[in-house]
Amino acid sequence: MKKGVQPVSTFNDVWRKLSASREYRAAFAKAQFKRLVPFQIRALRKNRQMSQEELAEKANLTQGVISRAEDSDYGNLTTNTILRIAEGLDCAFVGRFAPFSELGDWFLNLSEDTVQVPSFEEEDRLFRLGQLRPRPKVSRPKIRATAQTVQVISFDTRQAIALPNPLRIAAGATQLSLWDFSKGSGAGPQLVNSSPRPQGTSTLNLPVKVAVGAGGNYGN
Amino acid sequence: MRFWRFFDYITEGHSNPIQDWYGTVDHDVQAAFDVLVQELAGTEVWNTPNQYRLLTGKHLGMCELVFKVGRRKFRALGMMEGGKREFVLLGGCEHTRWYSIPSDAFDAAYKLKTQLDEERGATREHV
Repeated sequence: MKKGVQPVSTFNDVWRKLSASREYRAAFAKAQFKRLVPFQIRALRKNRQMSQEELAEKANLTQGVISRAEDSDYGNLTTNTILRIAEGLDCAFVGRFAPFSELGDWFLNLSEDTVQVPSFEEEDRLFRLGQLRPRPKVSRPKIRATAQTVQVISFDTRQAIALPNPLRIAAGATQLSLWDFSKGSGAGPQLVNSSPRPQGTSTLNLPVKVAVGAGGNYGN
Repeated sequence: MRFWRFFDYITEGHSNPIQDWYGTVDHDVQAAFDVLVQELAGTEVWNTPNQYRLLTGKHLGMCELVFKVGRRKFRALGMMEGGKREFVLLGGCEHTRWYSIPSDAFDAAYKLKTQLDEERGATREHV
């Protein structure tokens, strides 16, 4: 069997699908919620080495309810049940509105490891040892741009990279996504524009405070 | 951490059966399938029968991934290489106890599995 070398999903791949239609975006958000809350409950329970019966007892629910809550296809999970399960896991469930860029990023990094949340007991142990501190306020990276250079943050690696301005676009780039890292209130960078690469374009003049997003579609 | 990798099977005629099927279904089915694949990629040990089932009988050797959209049931068909934690997608369908849409989805996928076993065609990382 021949295996072609192809990239796995990148943020650009996800964004391309989200951009395709409003209906897909809505369905994607719904599917994430319906499938990934059960996924997270399973992953958290397994990591705490609890049986469904044990979690049920702590959450004041029945084992059958936990079993259904862990079934992505069940489809009738109520907020009240989720909150009781959070209580059983001794952590918080925070339902909040989020931009699609954050959802896409979370989707790409999804795994049983990345959804883990410590219990209050674990956090309290750290607190008593003086090792628990409030999470630092997320400061959006400031993009420093001059006529010659622009500093951008790679969406994939979160590393700052200095690139010449105007930017030389990589030969294989097909899509250009511009992100403004200076906006947002803790919800992540804002997508300014995403469009197919203009034909015949090899350089791009970046406005101040705008960075090129993800997927390796930037040149240097 | 990604535990599993997913591949599309590309036929000798350069068609991509899973993407062909994906293109025919509604947005809500597409989205549910996309999330399912990502969920399974991030799950170390899959759960049977809720997430996947190994097929028997005339489709022995194939595996189906199971998902629902509302009351409708869907299957993504493929081959699992558990040792390498790889899954090759061969096709998809809507499935009830009585019928599948498309009706020959299972047989068509099995034919592709046979081609894959004979090292015909290629695979490409699923995106």
